[in-house]
Amino acid sequence: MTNRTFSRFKHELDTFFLLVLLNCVFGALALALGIQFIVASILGLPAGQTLSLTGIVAGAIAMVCLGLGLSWIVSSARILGGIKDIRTEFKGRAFPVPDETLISGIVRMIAHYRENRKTIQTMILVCTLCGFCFLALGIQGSLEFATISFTSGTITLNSLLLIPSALLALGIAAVSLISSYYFRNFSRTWDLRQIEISRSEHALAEKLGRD
Amino acid sequence: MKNERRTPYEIYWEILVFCKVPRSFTAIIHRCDLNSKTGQDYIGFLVSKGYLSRTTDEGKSSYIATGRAGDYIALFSDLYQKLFDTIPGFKL
Repeated sequence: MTNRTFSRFKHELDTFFLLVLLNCVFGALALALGIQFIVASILGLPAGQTLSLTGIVAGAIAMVCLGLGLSWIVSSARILGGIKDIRTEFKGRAFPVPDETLISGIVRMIAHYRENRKTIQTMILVCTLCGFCFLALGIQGSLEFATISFTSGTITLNSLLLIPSALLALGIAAVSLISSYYFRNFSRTWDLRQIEISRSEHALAEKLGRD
Repeated sequence: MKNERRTPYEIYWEILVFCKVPRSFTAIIHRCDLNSKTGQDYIGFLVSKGYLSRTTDEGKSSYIATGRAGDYIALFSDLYQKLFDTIPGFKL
């Protein structure tokens, strides 16, 4: 075993753990913000006032965000559970580790990927959709708090209270789109490894004398 | 680890590594997360190919990896390490 293999495996494990953990946090934020947008755009209307078209659209997007946020947390938690167990075994361990320990970690990681491949594919989709939904909410929020006058070239802020939620929505949009990119990267790497494993099965079968 | 999430070669590797010292059938299937039926199939195959040998001590039978098992373990380790050496890794 080389130090390089061990370092790369450990680094990938830590990186992926961090990514999934970050997704749990942002999934929770997406859920909370989805609820906040629903409350603000539908339930927060003064009595007698009718809902504007932008309010209806924002409310609908917020409901989608709520669902996606929930799905985001559930998927992240499912992936996190397995990865945490593998990571615990390698946490704090330095090179050299026995060959069998490292290979066992690699096999467990591959098994975990096989088991969660569908969930990771869902995460890619959920993160992308969530990103675009929050981007729409963020833009809608930004348009609400600012009025741009093209004739005089000035920007007027209507309500400073809307700025944090609009910025938060844009922030979540950015994180979910970035997460989707990294999950796709992770999936691509492990799919390549799966292909390589399938190729090596011939050599292993031959060694064992298995038909 | 769930059985269907591992290839048969990964299961063979796990059994052989675990049986570097004598192990009972129950210990093997428990450690490798196999049921009795599949455990019998895997262990039976490894015994038939001479990778595992069965020993009986004071009426208790156990299995131990033979010298041949070392070749398989080495090949398996080499192939699985290459997954990290040849394929560009995942990073942020």
